[in-house]
Amino acid sequence: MKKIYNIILIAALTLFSASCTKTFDEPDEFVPVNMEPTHTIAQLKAMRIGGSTEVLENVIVSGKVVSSDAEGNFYRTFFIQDETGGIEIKIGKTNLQSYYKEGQTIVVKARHLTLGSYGGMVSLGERSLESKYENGYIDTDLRINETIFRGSLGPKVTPLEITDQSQITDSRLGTLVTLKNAKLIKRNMATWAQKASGTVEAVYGEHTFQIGTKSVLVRTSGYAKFASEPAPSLNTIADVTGILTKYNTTYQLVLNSLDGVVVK
Amino acid sequence: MKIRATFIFTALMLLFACGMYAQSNGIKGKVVNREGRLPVKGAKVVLMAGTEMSAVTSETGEFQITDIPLGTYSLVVTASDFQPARLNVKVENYMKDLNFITLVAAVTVKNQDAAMMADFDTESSSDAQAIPVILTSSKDVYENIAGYKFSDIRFKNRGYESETSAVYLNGLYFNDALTGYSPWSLWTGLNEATRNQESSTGLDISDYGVSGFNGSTNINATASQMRKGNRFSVVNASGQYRFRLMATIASGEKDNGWSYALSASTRMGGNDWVNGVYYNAFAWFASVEKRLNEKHRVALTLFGSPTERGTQGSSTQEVYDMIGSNYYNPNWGYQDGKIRNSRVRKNHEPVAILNYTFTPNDKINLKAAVSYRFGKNGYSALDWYDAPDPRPDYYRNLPSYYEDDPYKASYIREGWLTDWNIRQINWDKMYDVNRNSEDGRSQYILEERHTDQQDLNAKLQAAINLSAASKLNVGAELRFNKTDYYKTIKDLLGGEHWIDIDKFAERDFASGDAIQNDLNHPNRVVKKGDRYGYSYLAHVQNYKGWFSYKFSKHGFEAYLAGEAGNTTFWREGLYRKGLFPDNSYGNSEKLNFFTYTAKGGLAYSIGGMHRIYANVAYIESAPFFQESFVSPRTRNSVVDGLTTEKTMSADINYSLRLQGVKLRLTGFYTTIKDQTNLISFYDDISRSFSNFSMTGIDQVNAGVELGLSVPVATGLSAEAAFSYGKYVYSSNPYVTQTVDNSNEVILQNERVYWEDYKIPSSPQTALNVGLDYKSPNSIYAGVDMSYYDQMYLDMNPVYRTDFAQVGLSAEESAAMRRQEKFKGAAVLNANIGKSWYIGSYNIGFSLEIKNILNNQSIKTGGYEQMRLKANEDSNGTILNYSRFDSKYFYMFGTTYYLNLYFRF
Repeated sequence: MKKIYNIILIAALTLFSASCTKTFDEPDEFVPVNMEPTHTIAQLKAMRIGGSTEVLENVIVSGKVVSSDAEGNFYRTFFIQDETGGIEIKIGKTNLQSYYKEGQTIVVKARHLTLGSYGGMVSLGERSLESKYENGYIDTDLRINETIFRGSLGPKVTPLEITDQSQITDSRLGTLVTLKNAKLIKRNMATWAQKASGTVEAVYGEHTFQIGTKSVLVRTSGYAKFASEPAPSLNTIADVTGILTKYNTTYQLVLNSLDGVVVK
Repeated sequence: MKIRATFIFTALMLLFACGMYAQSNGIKGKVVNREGRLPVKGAKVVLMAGTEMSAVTSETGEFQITDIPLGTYSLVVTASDFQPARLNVKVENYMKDLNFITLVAAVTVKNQDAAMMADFDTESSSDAQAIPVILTSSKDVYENIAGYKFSDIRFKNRGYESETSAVYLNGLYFNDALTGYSPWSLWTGLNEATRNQESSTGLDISDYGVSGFNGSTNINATASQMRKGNRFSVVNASGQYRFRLMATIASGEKDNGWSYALSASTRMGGNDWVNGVYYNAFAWFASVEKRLNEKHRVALTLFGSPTERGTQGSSTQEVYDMIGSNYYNPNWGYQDGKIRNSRVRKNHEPVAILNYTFTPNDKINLKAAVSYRFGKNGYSALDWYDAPDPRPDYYRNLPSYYEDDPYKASYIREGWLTDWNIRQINWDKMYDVNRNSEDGRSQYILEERHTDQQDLNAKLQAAINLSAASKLNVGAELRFNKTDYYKTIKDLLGGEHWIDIDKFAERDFASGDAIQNDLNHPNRVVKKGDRYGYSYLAHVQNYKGWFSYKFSKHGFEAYLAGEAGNTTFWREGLYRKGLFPDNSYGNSEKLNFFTYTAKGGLAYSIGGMHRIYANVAYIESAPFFQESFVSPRTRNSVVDGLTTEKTMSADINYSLRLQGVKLRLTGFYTTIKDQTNLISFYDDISRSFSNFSMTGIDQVNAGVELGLSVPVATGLSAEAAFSYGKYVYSSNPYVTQTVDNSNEVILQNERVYWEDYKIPSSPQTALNVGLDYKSPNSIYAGVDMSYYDQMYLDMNPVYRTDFAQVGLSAEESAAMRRQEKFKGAAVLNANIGKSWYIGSYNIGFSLEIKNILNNQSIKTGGYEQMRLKANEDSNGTILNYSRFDSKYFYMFGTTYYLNLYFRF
């Protein structure tokens, strides 16, 4: 009898062994944050006075993501816009498109973040220890958790159509725009940019489009996935969509992807 | 803890009269060891017949006691290194021949698992397999102590890699065919079933083959070899797992010639020191054996250890200091309120063995055996596409990355100390990313890397007693191994699919054929359980023949042994890799190596007490499959200049056995030349898997070993083991670096200047002293102290190349090349146990406490990170390189192991 019990015990242990693997419930669905903004993005940008400016009030702004680093043309940064304007958030992380989707509402608690300008482009970031920059990347997870909140997903923002040169103004910096029927008048290379290879460094592509008499430089990173793709030939007319930026006196446009270029 | 075997197992072959005429009342017989049935000389045979009558066995193991009064008596046979045997004999009025009395080797029985399967996840080694710490059971006075006591620091015997130690199972060589690794993980959890072990030390030859230069162990795991009886035990512990249950029954050999044995166990839970590490392990074993008649014996043995274990990753001292513990494990994160480990080993590789023994007469013993190993062996890891590195201790997530910005550094620190999702893996975030990705394409997944072997092993062996003084052992072995290397998707983490392209190549080539993992099936959509990434077969075929000849006379012994064989292996790619379309699919060239071993030894014994012996060996062995391809995951390219590894080894030994004193003193000297090594790791600078292929690694291992056991008082003995060595690299090898996502060679045959650097990862000085007590009423207790020193960190070869010195000052260069030496450390352990006999029942417990002083700062290993940090000027030009912080493992603080057992 004893033996039979033993055999049963051993058989039970063996059977038991087939059926035991750790399981985990899947995490709850993401709950979008719901916070009322206290300020508009234009109001926030206006708080920068003189130079590097730490936001000292309880400022909450909200906007939708309009940039994407999926194609590598943006790096460690994204842009949000509301009806009053757009701003660059220097978050400092990479592969942002996986977490901050185009069209998604983002709420930023700006208190103790720092407004800075580079070549006339105002951005929100962390204080910088390098004097040549007015602000730096937010970078750290804890700080991001405290300041940048993800709201609901939504459709991608429809770019503002710019059909006349008078529409190209500083108030539209940091927003998504389409240059309608712009003409490529100048370029520094036949591809959109030049990738690094071997010992050769990556080179920005600079393709100047014109609307009326105003020029907008389409500036493309050598780290963009589409860098090696051929750019249109000179005098091509195209609709070009991207984030309107500025470097000193030059208006620039940064493409999210080549989908933003529709040759006429 | 040691439990001296208290049981007696005897196999008395024939107890009936042989009917021959006898001049007087008496008994005679031959005492042999169970394995190999070799004569045991010098055994004491005592008959309690009112007065004690005794005899000592001769050179051939024979004995005779005459003029015994008629009656039934108890006969006790004792011999050094064997368990005593007790049997009842009926003395009649003639010389009764008891024929064989079989003795079982007295092996100290450890109550812990035979191999500690703690997995240490290192980025630098091939993580195909766990490298266990083997707890050797040996009759050797040194190994008996060292094999167990030094295991806490992962001591490597004589500084050799563990794969140099041969492991046989039921007579078959079982070391891994692809890496040489010890195969203990195949039978982990089957302690009872695999307890019957014989071992040889150092250069000694074994009964099962010529063996190497680092000893051998043979496990006798057939039904008749297992201790008869039923056993059940419960373990509660804090060092590896929480609970263990084990049940075993063994029939012993029945009158009808049958014997059977069954065993099963489970090990569950984590330990006191490292979160995320757990066991979810089972084991099963069944063996049946039939003695067909006096000449033929057949056994079939089947077993497996379905095991799931969460592993421990290492981290840098910065991280340990930041969170205040040297036991931080970066591999896990909270999900569903529970700890989920990303690096889980899951394997079940059953083994079937058929053994056949033919003993036509007492001169010849023939053995045939065949085994087959199959099943699955997986190891999970995170994989990601177009998403940030999810590992919490990625260097950019640490304060040191912001050393120029104390403000950010303090934010990092605070995040680590206040938020589990920063300090550990953030599973919720990965699910979130995947659920919201376009068209359900997961960006984070859990992959499972597989090394699924099919291993067929066959052997024929004959042991021939040529004369009373000489014995010949010959064998032929054949091995076919086909191993499937691939990875599958274990969990899509909330997404719906994955696309099988090379994310690393995509960065450089954007699109087209180059980014395809398998050009034969481009842009394949893969789902849970599907194979992706890489897929190839390793074919290894090996055959060898060997002999050993032993001669002994008048205290003088000599042996000569040799082995010759051939190893062929090749890679068969199952994917046509986009980057290497002509060099990845199908068979690689077939690599062929002739291997051989030559060994000889002399021994001289004086009066059975002193023995002086010496061995010498020369071995040429084939490189292992895993080291022979520059990037086995992607292509068929073979390492340049591949050649056999050449080992020359010699030792001289003195052993003493005198009035309970046991001593062995050994000096050894070994050179190993032309070793190859492949180090594969994820290089986040080139954001790809990078491979260092090294050739021409030479080393010298020289040292002394001392084992000592001295009786101090009744039941009390003092024991010591001491190992002192000098293990150094003796050449400047070459390293070639390639990356999986490019056909570019990054470093070509770069010289690694590390001659005279130390062989890492094991203390070169190790000492253990202790007291061991056994009372007559089955109480036993022990206390011991270990001391370790001269232990060095595993090295990144590139730090020692000219390439890494460019732009460095003399001082910086010295720092770059320096090898870290760990601080010496002492560890105190103790154990206690007792067993009771109640009728035929035996019940008992044993408790072991390790590291009683709770020292939590003893480094047991680690490695230099394989990457180089490029220091750039403001224009992005690389000025020079510096090191990343090294990673370490630490010995656990105090742990206990409590075993309760019941036998009947």
